[in-house]
This record gives sequence, structure tokens and C-alpha cells, in this order.
Amino acid sequence: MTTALFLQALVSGILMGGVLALISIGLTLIWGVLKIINFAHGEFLMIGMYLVYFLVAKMGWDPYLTLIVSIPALFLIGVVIFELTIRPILKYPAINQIMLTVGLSLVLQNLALIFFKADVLFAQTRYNTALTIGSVVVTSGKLIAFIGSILATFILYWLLQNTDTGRGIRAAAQDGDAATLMGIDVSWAYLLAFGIGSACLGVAASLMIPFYYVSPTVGEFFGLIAFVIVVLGGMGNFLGALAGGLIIGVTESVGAAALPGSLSRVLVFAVFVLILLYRPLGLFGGKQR
Amino acid sequence: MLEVKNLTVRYGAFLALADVSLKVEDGQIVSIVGANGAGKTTLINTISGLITPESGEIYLDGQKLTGMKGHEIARIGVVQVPERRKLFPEMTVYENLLVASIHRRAKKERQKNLEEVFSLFPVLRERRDQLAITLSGGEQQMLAIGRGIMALPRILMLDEPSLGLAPILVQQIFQIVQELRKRGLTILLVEQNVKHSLRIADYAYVLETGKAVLEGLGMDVLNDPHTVEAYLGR
Ligand SMILES: Nc1ncnc2c1ncn2[C@@H]1O[C@H](COP(=O)(O)OP(=O)(O)O)[C@@H](O)[C@H]1O
Ligand SMILES: [Mg+2]
Repeated sequence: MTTALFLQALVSGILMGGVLALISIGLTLIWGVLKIINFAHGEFLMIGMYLVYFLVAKMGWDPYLTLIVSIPALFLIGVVIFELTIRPILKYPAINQIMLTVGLSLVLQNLALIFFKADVLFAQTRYNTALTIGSVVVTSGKLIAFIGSILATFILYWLLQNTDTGRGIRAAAQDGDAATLMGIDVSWAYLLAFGIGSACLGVAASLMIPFYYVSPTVGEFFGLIAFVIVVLGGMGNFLGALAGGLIIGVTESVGAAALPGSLSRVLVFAVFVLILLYRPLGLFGGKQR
Repeated sequence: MLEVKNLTVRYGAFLALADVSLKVEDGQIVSIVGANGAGKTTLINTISGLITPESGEIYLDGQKLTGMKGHEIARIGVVQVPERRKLFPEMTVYENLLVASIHRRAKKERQKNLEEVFSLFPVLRERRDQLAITLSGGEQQMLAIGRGIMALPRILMLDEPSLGLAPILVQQIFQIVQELRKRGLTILLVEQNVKHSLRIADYAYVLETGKAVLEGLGMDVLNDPHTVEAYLGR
């Protein structure tokens, strides 16, 4: 692989890694508070991407304007699905919860197949302009997605650290009974956490539409990769998910440039297994910040 | 005034509290003593709404607490400092204090209460930005009490605040409880440390396997032959 090719892959990987980080932070927040892995996380993203696609491709919206719809929409979808399906089984064993969210992902995928057909859709926007930095070429859409994702991640982190609502959510995550004794409505905190974790996907969907296709199965890859990143970063760990997102993004991208076919996905899991071998609790394992 | 009327609580078939009644008058320290497993934590958690009783009622100044949600009970001022402290381990001392005063009633008094907590426990001001888990046992108990104060209690319920502390710290904790009463708080104190907690109590109850077997003025319960024989070892 030439240096130029490597640099290109590295930069692309970092840019995509930022978006992967944002997606994973939604998942890690939900895990951190509720101790539930939402295996339908990727499908929530898929719904968000269809929503943004229609606003952009059919209604002519600027993709970044769709944030004002995609964020509240995904928050709402998260909240409604949480109340209807996940809240009732919160006290059940993990295996039941896994079955439920895996089942949910299949239902959502198949509903998408019925409503949107299996076609792969791509929205044409004016954010495909190529920017050249030395030998590296990136599109403006990818650059904006990266900056937006990192920004969203830090805003969310700041809110969780520095607002009363954020403190309440963290308290509920760390000790639900103690939080109740201090007057915190823990079921409300759960609802908020699930809603906010899902809303991250609204942001990701709006940011990705200028350069990523939409299909009923687009969420499969992202759901799985987000799970990998969450484990890699140390379950429930915000900064770990950020670092994990970047590592996986780069691994995937450099792997794709160096290896034939879809072997780069194998490489992603190889890196995953290797890191866990040496750090079984993840990169930032044990800490929940 | 807090009133518990004929409270019965079961864990499955196991009878943890059998027809327990008690009263806590405003401005008093009321102690509930009993051995490990007597049902003290069950009682205090039922008052806090963490456990739903099989029967019986709980009132604060005539307002019925039974049936309310746990966080609502805390918000109207029935605040618990739980057994083994249950601090938020991944939060700093300061955050632990702030997070107890999120609800509207307590938030209005946040600055004033913060000053009060720091004046009671100057060491917490020094440790303000340390994680709660890095504190010593005594400091953790101070933080747990401070956190309770931040929630603006009308009645503060302390579950075994002296548990696991060195004798000198035990002394200090009981002094603090008396100081809190002086500052106008009503206190329900649950303890295995029978001697200390009866000494500072205005009124006291002895709990044995879920039943209130003895009650009276703190000193009277302390000098009761049954107490002496069963708890003060001789
Ligand atoms: N969650 C529970 N499930 C079943 N039994 C319990 C539970 N909590 C407490 N118990 C039992 O109820 C009794 C009273 O416990 P507890 O209220 O914790 O006593 P204390 O605080 O006085 O030590 C004990 O016998 C204990 O084993
Ligand atoms: Mg106890």
C-alpha cells in the first residue's frame, strides 16, 4: 500500500470513526443507565435515515436542516418503543431482554422491507464536493459529519456532567434506590436516557445521508459495529466509546484499502478480540464516566 | 409528625414486619433498635416507599405516604440516609450533594444547604472534587448525611449511620445526630448500637423479628431489664 493510499484510508477512517462514535455513544448511554443492550439500535438508525432521506430527496430539504426533525423524531421513537416493549421487561433476565431487542430489530427491518422495498437509496446533495488536502481527498459531507458527530458527543457529555437532569440520569444509573431516596424519579431518568440514546441516531442519520446509502438492512452493520465499540470502550463508558469509534473506523477503512473484498470486516473483529484479550473490560473498562 | 400505623410487610411468605406502629414527633430523636435481621431496614425502606407493605398506613402530618412513589415521598421531605451509605460512587463529593437537591423544593435552598453541610462537615469542602469512593468510611458517612440534608428533609431517617466505623467516629456520628436535632431537624434513627442510640433518643422502640416489643422514653428503654439482658450483654 502506498503512503498516499494509507493516508487517504486513515483520514477516511477517522472521519467515519467520528460518526461511529456518536452512534455508539447512544448505545453506551442506554447500557450505562439501563443495563440493556438495544440490539435494535441499528434499526433505529435505519428509520432515522429513511426519514432524513425522504426530507432531503423528496422534499428538497438541506440535510442539516433535517436535524430539527430527526432529533425529536428519534427521541420520540425511542421513548415510545421503550415504554411499550422494554420497560415491561426491565426486571427480567438479560436473555429475555436480548431476545426482545433482537426480535424488535427483525420486525423493524421487515417493516422497512414492506414499506420501502429492498431498493438501495441515495440522496443527491450539494455536499459531495471534493476537498483536497495534500494527497488526501474528502467530501464536504464527510468532513461535516465528523465535526458534527464530535460536537454532538461533547455537547451530550457536557450536558450529562453539568446539568441537574444529567446528574439525575447519572445518579439513577449508579444507584437507582439511592437516587429514589434523594427525590429523583428513576423511571423518568430511564425514559430520558433511552430517548437521548436514540436521539443520537437522529443526529447520525442527518449527518450520514449526504454520503451514505439507505436500505432496510443498513442498520445491521451499524448496530453490530456499535455493539463492538461499546464493548471495546468499556460498557457504559463515554470516552471509551469515542476512542473505540475512532479505532474501529480506522481499522475498517485501512483494512478495506489493504485487504481484498470484505476481509476488512474480519479485521475489525480481529482487533476487537485482540484488545479484549489484553483488556477484558475494554479500553476504559471499569470506569463509568 | 410521622405516624406508622399497623404496618405489615412480607418478602414472599416471610413475615418481615408484623403490625408495627410508631410515632415520631416533630423535633425529636426517635430511635429504633434491634438486632441484625430484626426488620429495621425493612421498616425504613417501607416508609421511603421502596417496599410496598401488605397492610398498614404511613402518614406525615396527616398526609398519607403509603401508595406514593419513592421519589415523591423524598420530595415532600421524608429523606433517608441509607444503610451502607449508598453514595453515588462515580460522582464527586460536590456532585453527590448537588444531585440530592434536584427537585424543586430543595433546589430553592441549595446554596444555603450547601453552606450548612460544609459548616457541619468542613472536611467535605476540602474533598469537594474527589470521587465519593475515595473517601474514608467516616467521611463517606458524613457525605451520606450531608446528601440527606441537601434533599431538604422535614424528617431525616438514618439507617445504621455508625455501622463499620471506628469507635471514635461512632461517637462523632452520634454527636452530629444531636447537632442536627438542635438545628431543628426531626430524626428517626435506626441502630444496632443500642446503648448510644438510646442515650440520645427522646423516644425509642425495640424491634425483634418484625415486632415492636418495647417502647418508651429513650432512658426508660435503656434501663429496661429486657433491654439490659438482651442487648447490653451481662
Ligand atoms: N429482599 C429481601 N428478600 C427476602 N428477605 C429479606 C429481604 N430483605 C430482608 N429480608 C429479611 O427480612 C428480615 C429483616 O431484614 P432487615 O429489615 O434488613 O433487618 P435489619 O435492618 O434489622 O437488619 C431478615 O430476616 C432478612 O433476611
Ligand atoms: Mg438493616
